[in-house]
Amino acid sequence: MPSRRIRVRVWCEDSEHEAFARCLLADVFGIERRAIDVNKAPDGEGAASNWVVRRYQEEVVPTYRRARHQVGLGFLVLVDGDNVGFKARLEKLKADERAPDDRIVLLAPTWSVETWVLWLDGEPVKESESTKDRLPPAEFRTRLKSAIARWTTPPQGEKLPSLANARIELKRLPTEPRA
Amino acid sequence: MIKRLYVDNYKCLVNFEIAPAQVACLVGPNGGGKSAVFGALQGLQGFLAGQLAADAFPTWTRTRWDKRASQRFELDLRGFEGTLFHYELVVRHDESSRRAAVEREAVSTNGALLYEHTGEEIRLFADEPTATPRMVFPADPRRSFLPLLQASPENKLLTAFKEWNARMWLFALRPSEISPDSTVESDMLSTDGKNFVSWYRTILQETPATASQIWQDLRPIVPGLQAIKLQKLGVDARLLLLDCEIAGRPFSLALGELSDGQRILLLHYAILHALAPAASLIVFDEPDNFVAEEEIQPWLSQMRDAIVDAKRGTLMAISHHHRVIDYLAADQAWELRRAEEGPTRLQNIRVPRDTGMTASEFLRLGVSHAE
Repeated sequence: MPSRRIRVRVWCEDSEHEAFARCLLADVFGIERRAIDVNKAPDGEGAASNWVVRRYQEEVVPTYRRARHQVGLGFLVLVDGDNVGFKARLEKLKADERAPDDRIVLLAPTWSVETWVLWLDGEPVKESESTKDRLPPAEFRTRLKSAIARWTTPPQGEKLPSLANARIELKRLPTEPRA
Repeated sequence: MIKRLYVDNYKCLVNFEIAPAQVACLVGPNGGGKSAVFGALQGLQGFLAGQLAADAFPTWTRTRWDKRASQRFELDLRGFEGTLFHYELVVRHDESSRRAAVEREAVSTNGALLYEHTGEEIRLFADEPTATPRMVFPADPRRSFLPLLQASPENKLLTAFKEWNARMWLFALRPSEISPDSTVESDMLSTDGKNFVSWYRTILQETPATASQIWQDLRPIVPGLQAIKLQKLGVDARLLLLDCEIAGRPFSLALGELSDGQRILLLHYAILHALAPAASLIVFDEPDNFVAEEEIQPWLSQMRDAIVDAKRGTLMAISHHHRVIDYLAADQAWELRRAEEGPTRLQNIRVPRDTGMTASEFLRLGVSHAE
């Protein structure tokens, strides 16, 4: 019998991504910390987004193919859209090659995850402009909790295309949002 | 928050300097110098808590191939109120008598002295920068005067420095050393965790909510865990018991009946909840020892969050385990390595991220230290 214990493996760029993924999975989907395994890009040379894309191709997809019988196991990939946007990122990840029931979630916040957090927390933002300077790492986690609390009912509506796409992507998780 | 550590003429550390980020991992081969860094910090901690220089830095800790009689240690740190402190200590060794004495010890902020131990006299300066000390008196050359310094309105900065030092924690936990019971309460947890039960008694008394957090985190690790309690054995003695219940059958486990990994995780979560939020520096030497792979990240991620959220301390882990290295390398990783029996060389690991390699994969390839 396959296990229905929900677990999620995460690949992401940095600790802000990790915090976002953990908070989203815990507060919206009820997935506890122990069931989340995070792989972050190491400190180093080159773009962290490139690291995530390489890991997706070389680790995420092959691992998922081997583990897809574990019905409670979901994979979540978080990579900033930056200046190219979420559609270009998803194309680079060959998102269309996933089967409709593949439990691989691809999130590409644009410009970055800070954009989503500020938007959800009620601040005006544009996907075409970087918001990293408006939310430095030291303040990120304090804003995150209240932003995720508004995940299901964003105060400014659903006007960020990358965020709207994320809601569709998250339906691939092996669990539903908590009521 | 520690900004810089400098060590010279201590074991394999010669003219060694590290400027760690708020979260950092120390990696490298056996004998590379990781434990020497831990030992230098342990020596400083002990010396600043009142140990004799000869005990904190025995003569045999001098670099074997170095003929110099003096060891130098420096710390740059940011105190809890944001003050930048510089601490320096020079210990002079007499080879024939195996005696060690303070050659110079000083605490300064922004270049202004707050405290100076010349080996012969103690000079205390006011918090406001002055050229002359407000107090001078004879020194005991064998030890620091700082542990004896009483807090007063004239030495708020030195008190803040002492506060920083009192919240420095170094752990190389040894599960087989942990005593299952205690006869006294203790507000300090020893480096090896031996006196855990004595320290836990204090936690239970002073912050029962912390004890509850520890219990919550331990529940998935000890099947059937219902409560952690202290059973009275005598007037002063207490035995730590874990009350469990499986299939409706209650039973108690003494600490010695837990596995090595379960004991380590009990201490890990206790340190996380009781010490991390207020710590100035926490260093773990091989925190992965005895611990199942899947248990590392749930604890380590919380430990990192606690340190980062508190915005006052530094977390350093010394490890060979890929789970620890890869998790902390997102913040910072340093490789310590010795070339042909020479001193330790330090390198900040900068992974070429376009390759998609993890830090542990990068280290395994050996390219970080290739010529």
